Amino acid sequence: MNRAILFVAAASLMAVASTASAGNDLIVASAKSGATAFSADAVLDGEAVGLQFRIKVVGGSDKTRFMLDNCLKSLPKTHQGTCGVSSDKSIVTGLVYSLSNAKLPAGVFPLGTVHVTSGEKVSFEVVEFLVAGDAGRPLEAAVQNALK
Amino acid sequence: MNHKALLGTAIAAALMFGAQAASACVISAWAPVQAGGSQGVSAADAGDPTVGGGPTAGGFKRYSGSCSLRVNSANGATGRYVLDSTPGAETSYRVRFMYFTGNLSGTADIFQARNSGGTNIIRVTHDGTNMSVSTTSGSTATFAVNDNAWYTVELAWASAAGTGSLTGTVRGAGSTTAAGTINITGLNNGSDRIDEARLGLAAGTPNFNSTAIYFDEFDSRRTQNPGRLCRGDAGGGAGGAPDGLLNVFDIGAMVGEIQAPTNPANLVKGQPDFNEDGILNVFDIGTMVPVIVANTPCSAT
Repeated sequence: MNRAILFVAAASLMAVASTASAGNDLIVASAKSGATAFSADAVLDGEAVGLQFRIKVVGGSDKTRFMLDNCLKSLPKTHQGTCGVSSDKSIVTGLVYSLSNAKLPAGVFPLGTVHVTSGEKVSFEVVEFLVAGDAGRPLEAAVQNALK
Repeated sequence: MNHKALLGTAIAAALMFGAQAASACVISAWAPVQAGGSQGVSAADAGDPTVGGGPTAGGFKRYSGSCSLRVNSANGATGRYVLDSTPGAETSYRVRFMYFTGNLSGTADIFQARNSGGTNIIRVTHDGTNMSVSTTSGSTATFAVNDNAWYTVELAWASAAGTGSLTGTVRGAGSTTAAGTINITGLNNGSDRIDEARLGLAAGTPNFNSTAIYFDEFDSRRTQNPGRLCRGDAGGGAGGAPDGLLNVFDIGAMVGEIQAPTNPANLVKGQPDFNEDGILNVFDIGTMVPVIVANTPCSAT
């Protein structure tokens, strides 16, 4: 995660910490300039078993490339996760789940960073954030959007 | 009007095999109590995955919801089937049902739509290797199907002088490619009518080879195709109902049933068997995760 992203993400987390409700929040931030990467973190209430986010890449093309190596890199051993890109390269999806229906710990949960390389200027837009409780029960979820 | 009768057919079928999470599985929604009604099946032939100690000990395989119909032995000339007698001299008939192939040898009629004289107007057979679909004229569509796999059979039939047809698709076994396409057209079948449908072992005495075949989610209509159900859409909607989307809620619901498959309260309300092999396990999750992260819609699965 580069310094600009770290700064924005940290600022966002602090803001959320002071305003977050008892639900679950997704905090997404982009680089201050260039908008070629976004970072994602979640603030969870301790009831979440799995989560899913979709982020739209606006302005991309067939030549857009994605680096997903640092996406969902820090999962607890009870969970698995993966990030992927839609066939039209317009949506990045992250999915975290547990094969034992274990709960994710309460607090800040780093989801990682996605870098995008494109000949065009791209921007990011959160289009979905879902949080599942035990047995796939939907939990309250909100997005704290710090994307430029 | 007959349209109401056919709509009633769909509702009855849903009651039978689908929307029974809170109640026992029953076949009484069909027409077993009238003369010429369902044959060779009893209450024990409808059940859910928890029956007999769970999925690995005699539990029923189902495609959607809790319940399905099981046939695991032949019954001579009588057969074992449920009968829907609500159609009335239909000239247009659309049907969908899910069929689990088991490991048959020998030919079984798994679906018949007949006229009042007992003639098969639509006939679907399975011989353990191939499924065949035919009507009163035109060629027979024959294509290979896998053992021990769920398939969705969708058919649309119409009678007309010179323009009658039987079209449809059979898709399943976890594949996005249809196993078979039925396209029998230009039929001079204007005098054909459909007055009843039989689902199960409607005819034939195949060897079941210690396995069973299953049926689920029968739906018939006059003017609209019922449509295929989204595989993997285990829940996610209100009250755990399927919502037409594939996401983390479906995985959570599937995990709950995988962990405690003998608990009726854990049975999902949708279609959890993503790879359509009749077994709900980690392979369903493993094959569904890439589909979710690729943002693939249900219609493309």
